[in-house]
Amino acid sequence: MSEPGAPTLQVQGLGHCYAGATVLHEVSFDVAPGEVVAVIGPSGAGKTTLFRAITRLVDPSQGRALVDGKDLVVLAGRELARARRNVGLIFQQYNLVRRLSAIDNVVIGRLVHLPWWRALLRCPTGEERALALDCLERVGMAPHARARADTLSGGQQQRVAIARVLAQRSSLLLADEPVASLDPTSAASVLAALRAVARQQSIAVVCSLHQVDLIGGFADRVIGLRDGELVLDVAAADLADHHRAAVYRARPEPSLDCEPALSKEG
Amino acid sequence: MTDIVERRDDLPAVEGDRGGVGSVGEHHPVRGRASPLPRVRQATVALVAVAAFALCVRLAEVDPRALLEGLPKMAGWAVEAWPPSTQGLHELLVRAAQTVAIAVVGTGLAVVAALVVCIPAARNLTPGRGVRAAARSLLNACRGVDSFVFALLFVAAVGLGPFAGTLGVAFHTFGSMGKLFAESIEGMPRGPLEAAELTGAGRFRTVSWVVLPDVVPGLVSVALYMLEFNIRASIVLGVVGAGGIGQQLKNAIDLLDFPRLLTIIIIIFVMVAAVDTVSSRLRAHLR
Ligand SMILES: Nc1ncnc2c1ncn2[C@@H]1O[C@H](COP(=O)(O)OP(=O)(O)OP(=O)(O)O)[C@@H](O)[C@H]1O
Ligand SMILES: [Mg+2]
Repeated sequence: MSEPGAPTLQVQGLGHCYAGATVLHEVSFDVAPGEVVAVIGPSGAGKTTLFRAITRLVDPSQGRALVDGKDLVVLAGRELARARRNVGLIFQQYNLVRRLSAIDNVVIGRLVHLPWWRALLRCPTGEERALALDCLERVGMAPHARARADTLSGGQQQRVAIARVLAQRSSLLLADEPVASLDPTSAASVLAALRAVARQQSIAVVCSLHQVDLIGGFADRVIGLRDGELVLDVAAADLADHHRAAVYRARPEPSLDCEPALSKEG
Repeated sequence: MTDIVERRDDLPAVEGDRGGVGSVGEHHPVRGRASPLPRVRQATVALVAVAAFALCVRLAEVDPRALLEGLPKMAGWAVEAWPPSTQGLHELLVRAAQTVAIAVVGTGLAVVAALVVCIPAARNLTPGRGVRAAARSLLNACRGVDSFVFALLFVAAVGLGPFAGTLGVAFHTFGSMGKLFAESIEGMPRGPLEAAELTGAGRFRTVSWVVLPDVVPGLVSVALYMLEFNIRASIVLGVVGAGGIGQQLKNAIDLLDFPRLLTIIIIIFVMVAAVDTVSSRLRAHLR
């Protein structure tokens, strides 16, 4: 832990290219402990890429991503693995192990703390098991603890994935559209659970959302991505229609750009 | 240019043979290009293939006359062989069990070794190219040498008997199985691996908790398949002095003891059928 009051996450000029195409342009923002930040942006804006770059699932082409003062971008091997314990990521596609039970999937969040032979025998301590069950409880999945992951619905799988990240007890929690596959009621309750852990345990939460109407009452701050650029960073309370319009504004059609040139020629 | 015209002229004739689809080729020159080769070329290819096969027949010293002379001899043996001898049946059954044991222990040892080496050989678990190349070469080398050849080497090293056969089976199976295991692991979805990676868990814990549960049905299926294959392989191993029912088979042939030979063949047939049945039942249960 760094000194009190320091941001949990500092993203500084983070950029990423896929095969030469820049999909993230020098994005910078900070997130304080216990703060909940919503990320909005149209499809393809780079939300998933931002999360993958922060966690080093892809190597950023530039910039820094500091978690508790440690720059993940320059770490490698064991040091990177150690730093990643402080970062939990909820994936857009859940990424559960299909043939494991819900509770065994949640224990993955504790895997690094298990003795090697317990990992091999797939036999966690009672303590870890209780913690996993508690995390399932918080997302309303305790009754399905023994069910195999591939027998659960999409929404249920996503809640198990959230429980897995809660079990990790990281200081930063990244969530990539965690409620996209949930019905409105469970979406609201899952977001409430995320907000509650953020508040109670001073965890910084960064969560991308497609449903802008869910932001009120959930997030403290909203940042907006468009075409890989940070185009919005306001307090959630101040979010106004023109902000949304700026983020979701239709991209200028290439044909429109060409028209003046054509008319000049003609 | 002329080439294309010629081909198109050829088309109706070729396709006409196939009955009535010729007109389609005529109207769609693009399709015409994908259609069979023109006749002259077809004939040339066929001629070359026949010539090559004929050459191979010569090299293989195929001799129908020898077969014609030999067949009645075999028929005579079949008559001589009946009824199958029950003398020394106990010994034969023990030898049959020994053959099964060679296959089981050989496959078992191979499973353990393959489980270790498939991890550095799998692309999604081992990013380092050097380590992966080394693991792959080891597996390929063992896979490339037949268990029969390995057994010959081990007979020289550890002496005649089933242990040499077991080692032969183990080494070859290790190569084949390690490669299939690695491919099975590479086929698993990437997401759960990334999720485990982000918890900071090391490779051993990730493999135990995330990889194995996902791939275990595939691995067991491969192992059972290799076991079926190895039962047959270890029968042959007896011929090079690695014990088991195969050795009895060779002895019976050398002594022209046909009733005993028939008994051995029946035992082999039952043994192979039994293992195949059990194994395929088990594989069907995997899910
Ligand atoms: N593996 C990849 N290889 C090449 N390009 C990629 C890859 N992943 C994403 N992209 C591109 O990067 C851009 C940003 O994608 P990203 O997945 O980050 O968007 P997103 O904001 O998460 O979209 P969505 O809301 O649909 O999930 C897109 O243009 C996409 O085509
Ligand atoms: Mg996305």
